[in-house]
Amino acid sequence: MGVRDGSRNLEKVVYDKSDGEIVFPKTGRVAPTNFPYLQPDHLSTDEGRRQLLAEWLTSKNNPYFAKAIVNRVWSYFFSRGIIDPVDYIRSSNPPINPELLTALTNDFIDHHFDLKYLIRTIVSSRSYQIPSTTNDWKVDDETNFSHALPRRLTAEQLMDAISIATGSRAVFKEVPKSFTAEELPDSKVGMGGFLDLFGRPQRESACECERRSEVSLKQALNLINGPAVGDAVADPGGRIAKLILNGAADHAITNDLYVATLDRPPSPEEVHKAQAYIAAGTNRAASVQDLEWALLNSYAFLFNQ
Amino acid sequence: MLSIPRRISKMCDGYSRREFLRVGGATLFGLSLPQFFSLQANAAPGSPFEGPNGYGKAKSVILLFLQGEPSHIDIWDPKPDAPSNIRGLFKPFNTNVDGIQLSETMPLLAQHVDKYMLIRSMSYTPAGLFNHTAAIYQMLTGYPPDKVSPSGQLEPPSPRDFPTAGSQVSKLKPLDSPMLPFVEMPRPLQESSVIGKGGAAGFLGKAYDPYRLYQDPNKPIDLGGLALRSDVPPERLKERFYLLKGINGSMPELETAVRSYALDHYYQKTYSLLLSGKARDAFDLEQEKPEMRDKYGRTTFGQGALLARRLVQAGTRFVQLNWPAVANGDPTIEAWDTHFANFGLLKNLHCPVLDRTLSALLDDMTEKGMMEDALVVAVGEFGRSPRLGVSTSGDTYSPDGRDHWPYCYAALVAGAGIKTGQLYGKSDETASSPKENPVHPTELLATIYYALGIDPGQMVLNDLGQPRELVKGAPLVKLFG
Repeated sequence: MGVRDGSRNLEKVVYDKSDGEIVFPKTGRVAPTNFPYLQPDHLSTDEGRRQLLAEWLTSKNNPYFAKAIVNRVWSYFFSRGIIDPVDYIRSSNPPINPELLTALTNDFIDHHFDLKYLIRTIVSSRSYQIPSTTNDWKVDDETNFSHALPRRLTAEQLMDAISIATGSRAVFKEVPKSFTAEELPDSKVGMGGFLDLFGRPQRESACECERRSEVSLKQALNLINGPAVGDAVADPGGRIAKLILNGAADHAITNDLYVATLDRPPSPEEVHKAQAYIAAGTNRAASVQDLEWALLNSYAFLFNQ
Repeated sequence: MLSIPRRISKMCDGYSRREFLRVGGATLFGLSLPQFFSLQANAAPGSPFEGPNGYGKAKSVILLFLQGEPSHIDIWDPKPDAPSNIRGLFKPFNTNVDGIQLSETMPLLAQHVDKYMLIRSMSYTPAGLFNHTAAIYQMLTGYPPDKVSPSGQLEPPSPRDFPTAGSQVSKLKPLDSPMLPFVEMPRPLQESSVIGKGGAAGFLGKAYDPYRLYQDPNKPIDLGGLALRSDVPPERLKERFYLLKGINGSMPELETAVRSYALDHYYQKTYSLLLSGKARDAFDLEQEKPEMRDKYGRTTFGQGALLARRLVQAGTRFVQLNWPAVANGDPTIEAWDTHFANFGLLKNLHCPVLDRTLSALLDDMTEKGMMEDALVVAVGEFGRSPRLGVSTSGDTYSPDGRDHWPYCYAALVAGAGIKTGQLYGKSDETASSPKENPVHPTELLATIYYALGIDPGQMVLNDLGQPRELVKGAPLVKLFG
């Protein structure tokens, strides 16, 4: 496999190469290529080594790859892997529920490594759908998936969710205007900005730990006083401006903002409070912006529950 | 049997292997490592250092990190009796303390030797690479870098890197007041295209990254998110928080479920930070008298040091002021990296800036009574070859240049109970290696932690939950009076 510079800045092209043997410096001999386990005698070398590697990885007899993928995908939905940390698979760090991991792994192999199938299985499970509310018997549990652990939205999710809620799109100068944060081709786009602050992986290693989901002072500063939320709620072409211009009533505006931001209608009490707040203000647009600012900064928006 | 390691070993490699094995064995009894460490924290009634001088005396640190590396023999450690191809062109200069001489390049600082301690025996042997970034990483994280690219350069910063000192301090000694805990300025650590290696929170997570003010403080400063938006004055921000409180309060179960993220804590802190205006004021150098600004020098480094002092006054725990040039940058502009034309550049360009700034900072902070509980450290990543015109790094060289030299260099330390007007350690006749009391960079780092009341021998958990020593070196307790 070779890597060369592409036609555009920072672009790398990965291509198949027939040579590239590794020479052991001490003896000068070529190190023979081999797999660490499961010698694939039935695979031919004519297809190129990358093809061979892919087939070996996804061989039904390879017990490691499928397990690692299943564990990784599981962690995306539960904040933690069945083996956790996700990249720390070794005998001294056993799975919290080996039967579950084995069953999911076998099922994944039986379905030809179909990621969509795996995701469907996970999200339709009772374990995933269980709410984050607890009771006395499971309040301390953080490892057995007895209740949902809210996850902070990832950097890309957060940015896209803000633009959906406010109708105000962030534009990256490196890519076409229509690109959402989740569609960005690589981590160099918008470097050093909102996405990096909220823990977008730099794609320098394959470690799941590259993506960070903690909360920091600088993140709070950005959400409270930065442009990502501040400009979005005040966008003259955004949702709020349109609602006001269309002459929507306070309760309709409140309803619209709750649905767009928290994905649920407000309770009667919440409508009442919002109406009172808007009525008390001198500048209606500003009061509505304040309401949306508060919704975007609420736990219910920042966390996937 | 559970052994809780609390004492620092006097040996260079820190904890004994046996203690590690016992720590490892703890998991056999059903304790995860995080549980183990919380036990450790609970089990320690006091610090192992309570008693010795200086422990916990510093409330804040100003680290003047002289990346690129000034030549120790031409600044801190003159060797007038050495052969001419070593001693160079500068003459020694008497200071206000009998028996201590600096080089003639530091005439102002020579009048303030009674305010600091000079370590002349800094030394380490690189594990492989002889370049700036490897040494910067070693100095600031306490660990040698483990990955090197095929070109001999270091890998760029990675989330698995060891955390830089200021990040460790922000986590282990959090602030009570609403202020920025760790500020780095006026530009990142850098060698060629490797930017910020050794200057990030690494496995602690970006939450502990420094607040990076990568601007020239000698020009008007853009405060970004720290300044309140013009459309959101304090009253409106208060109203927004009132609304937010109501929305979160209507979902108490969610509030409980996300408690571990400490979001409320950060929001409260940010709220006070924005409303108090403390950080904003600290960054406003216009509040200083013009004479004070002149005293520090109207340079990036000079105004940066003044800003560092203001930040410490406002409550910042750790300020890191990097020398404002790429470590291996052009020495004819700003960089210390004098592979050629060493003398003219030091004498006329670099040393006057360092001399003025350092002496102004020490003088000003002493006058304000700040040296009682602030630690000031000036050090770079290594020294420069005592012999002129040799290549140590494999780089090009010229007869009037000095190359990289990690085996012997100097550091200035002051404040927080550190003895003043004294030397610690001694270099040999040619300032090539320490003759007395060699100080490894990990020991200087351990001393900084120690001064702040952080046990340097404690374990921290990396991204995989594995225990690692905060730093593998013992603090220099003898420095403290």
